[in-house]
Amino acid sequence: MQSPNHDRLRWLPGGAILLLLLGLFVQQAAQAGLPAPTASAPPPPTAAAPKQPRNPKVGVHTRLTDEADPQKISRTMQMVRAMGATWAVEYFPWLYIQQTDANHYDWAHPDLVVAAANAAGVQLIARIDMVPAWARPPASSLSRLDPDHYAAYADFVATFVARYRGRVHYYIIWNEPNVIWEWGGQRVDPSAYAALLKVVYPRVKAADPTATILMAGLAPTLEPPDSPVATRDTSYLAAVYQAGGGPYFDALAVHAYGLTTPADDPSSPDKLNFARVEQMRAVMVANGDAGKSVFVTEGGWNDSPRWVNAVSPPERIRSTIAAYERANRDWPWCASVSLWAFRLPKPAYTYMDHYTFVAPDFVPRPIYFEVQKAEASP
Amino acid sequence: MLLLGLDLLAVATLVAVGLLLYFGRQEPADLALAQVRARGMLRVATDATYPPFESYAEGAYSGYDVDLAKLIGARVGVAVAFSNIPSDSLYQALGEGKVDAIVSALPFIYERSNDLIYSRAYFNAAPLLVVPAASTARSLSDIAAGKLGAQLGSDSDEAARRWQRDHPTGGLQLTTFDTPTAALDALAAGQVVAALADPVEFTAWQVAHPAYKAVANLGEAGYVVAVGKQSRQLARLVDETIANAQADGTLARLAARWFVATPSPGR
Repeated sequence: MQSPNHDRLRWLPGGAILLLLLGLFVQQAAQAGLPAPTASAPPPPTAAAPKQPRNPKVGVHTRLTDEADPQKISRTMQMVRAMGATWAVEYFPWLYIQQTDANHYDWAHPDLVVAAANAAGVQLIARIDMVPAWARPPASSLSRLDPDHYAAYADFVATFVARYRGRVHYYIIWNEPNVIWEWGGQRVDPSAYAALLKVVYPRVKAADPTATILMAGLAPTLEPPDSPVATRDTSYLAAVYQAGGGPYFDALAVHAYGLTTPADDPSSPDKLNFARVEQMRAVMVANGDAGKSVFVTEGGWNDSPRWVNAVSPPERIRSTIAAYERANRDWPWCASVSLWAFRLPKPAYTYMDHYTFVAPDFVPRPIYFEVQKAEASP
Repeated sequence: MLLLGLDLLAVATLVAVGLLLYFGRQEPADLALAQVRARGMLRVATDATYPPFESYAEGAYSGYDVDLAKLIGARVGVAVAFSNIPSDSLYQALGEGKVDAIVSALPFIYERSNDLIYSRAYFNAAPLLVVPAASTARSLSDIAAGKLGAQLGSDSDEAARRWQRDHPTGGLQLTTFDTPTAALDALAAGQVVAALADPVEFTAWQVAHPAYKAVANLGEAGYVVAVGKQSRQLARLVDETIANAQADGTLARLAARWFVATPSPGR
C-alpha cells in the first residue's frame, strides 16, 4: 500500500504546493537556528555534517515506531547524522505492517523511515519482530511465534528485504530471545531460535544476496542455569551454535549497557558492562566465527537521579564518547555502536527519559552537543 | 380561587425546582475522604529511594515529603501509613485504590491529569539562578554577557543551552563542571558571575556561603501530590495544607531541615 500522503500531494493545486514549499523552506530555516549559536556552543545539529565521519562506528537507536509525523521522522534522521552518527537501529514491528492477514501490507511508515535515513546518509539496521494476531495463538503474547508460523515470519522478512533492497542492508532477526517475555511467555529455547534462523536466512538471501543477517541482540544477564525467566547471554549464544544456528547469521547484534561502570571497565564473564561485547565475541571465536562482525545495537548509560543503575550526567557523557572511541580503537571486529535511544516521541516520565540524546521537542540535550563536538574534533 | 391555586402551584413548582437545582449543585460526598476518616489512616505511596525527599531506613520513613504527608494527615485528622512503592508503580497503586495519595517528589504529568487530581505544586525543582547577594541580577538576561557555571549534562546545563538557543545574541558563556557544587564553588571563586544549580544542592551549599542568593528558577518543575479522581474534598485539604505550609514558612523550614542535613549524593 502506498502512503496516503503521496496521494494527497498529487491532488494539491499549484498554489497550495507553492505554499507547502514555502512552509518547508521556513521550517528548514527555523531548524537551522535550532541550537545555541554562541561562542561556547558547538555547531548547530542541522549544520552540514562532515562527509567522512571521524569515527565510522558511531550510531544510535532511534525510536520512530510511534512517530507518525513525516517531518519528525525526517528531522530525527537529519539530527542523527548532524550529531556525527552514521548508523541507526530502528524497530519495524511485523504486526504494524502486516496487521490483518498474510496478504495485506501497510508500508507507509517504514517507507518514511527508510527514505529519511537514506536522505540523511544514515545506514539503517532494521530490527523485525512482534507477531500479528493472525500468526499466533489467540490471546497470546505479541512475542509468541510458534514453529508453524516461522515460514510466515520468513515470508514477511523476505518481502521487507526485497522492498528495501539497496536501501537497507542490515536486518536483526528478533529481539532478546533469551528472556521469557521476548519469547512469547514461554521458556526460552536456543534451539528453537536456531530453527527460526534456519528458516529465515535462505529466504532473505534469496530476496537480497547482499543483505546482512544479524542474530538477535540478547539481553545482558547473569541468570543462573536453572532460571525460569532467562538464559545467560553467553550461554544462549553457545547453545545457538550447538543447535547448528551458526551458519544462519552473518553477524551478531549485541546489547551493551554500561550501567554504573565506565566505558573502559574490563570485560569479565560474571560482569555486566559495556565490554560485555568481548564476552560475546569470545563465544563467536570459540565457535569458528572470528570472521563475523559484531554490531552493538543497544547500549549506553543513563543519568536519571532516581535510578539505581544510573550515573551522573558528566559520567554518562564521558562514557558515551569513550565507548564510541573504544569500539573504533580496540575492536576491529565491531562494525557499529548504536546506543539507546536518540529521542522518544513523548516523555516517558521515568528513568527512560534519561537515556536520550534529544528531548521530545527536538531540543538537543547536552550529551548531543558533547558527542557532536567529540566527533567533529580531529 | 382557581387562579390563586394555579399561582400557588406555580410558585411551589418554582421553589421545588430551585431547591432541586441548589442542592443538586452541591458536591456529592467524597467517599474517599469518608473512608480515610473511617479508617483513621491516610495511606500514602512513596518511592523511598530519593533522599532528601523520601527514604527508608531501620523501619522508618523520613524526608521532606514524609513530613509533608504527615502535615496532610494532621489536616485530615488521621495518622499516615506509608507504602514503599517503586516509582513506575505509584500511579497503578493509586488507581487500584491501594493508597489514598502519592507523595513522592512527583512531577506534574499533563497526560495523567484527567485520571486523577494533582495538588498545587509544593516545590519547584527547576534549576536555580544563583548570584552574589549584592547582585541586582534577576534573570539570565541580566548576566547574559557574563560567564555562567553549571554541572555538565545536568538539567541546569540543559536549561542554559536552551536559553542560549532562544537568545542567540545574548552572548552568555556557559562553563560546565563535574558537580553542581563545583559550579557553585566557581561562583564563590569569581570564575563565573552566576551559577545554575539544583535547588536542593543550593540550599545545602548556601549554609556555608551566605553571601550568595538564588534569584529565580529557570522554568517550572513543580512537585505535586496526587489523589484519586473522586477524592475532591481530600484534594482540597491537600491544597490547603500546602498553601498554609507555604504561607507560614513550614515548607521553608522543611527544606532547611532536610536539604541541609541530607543532601542527595546522587545529584
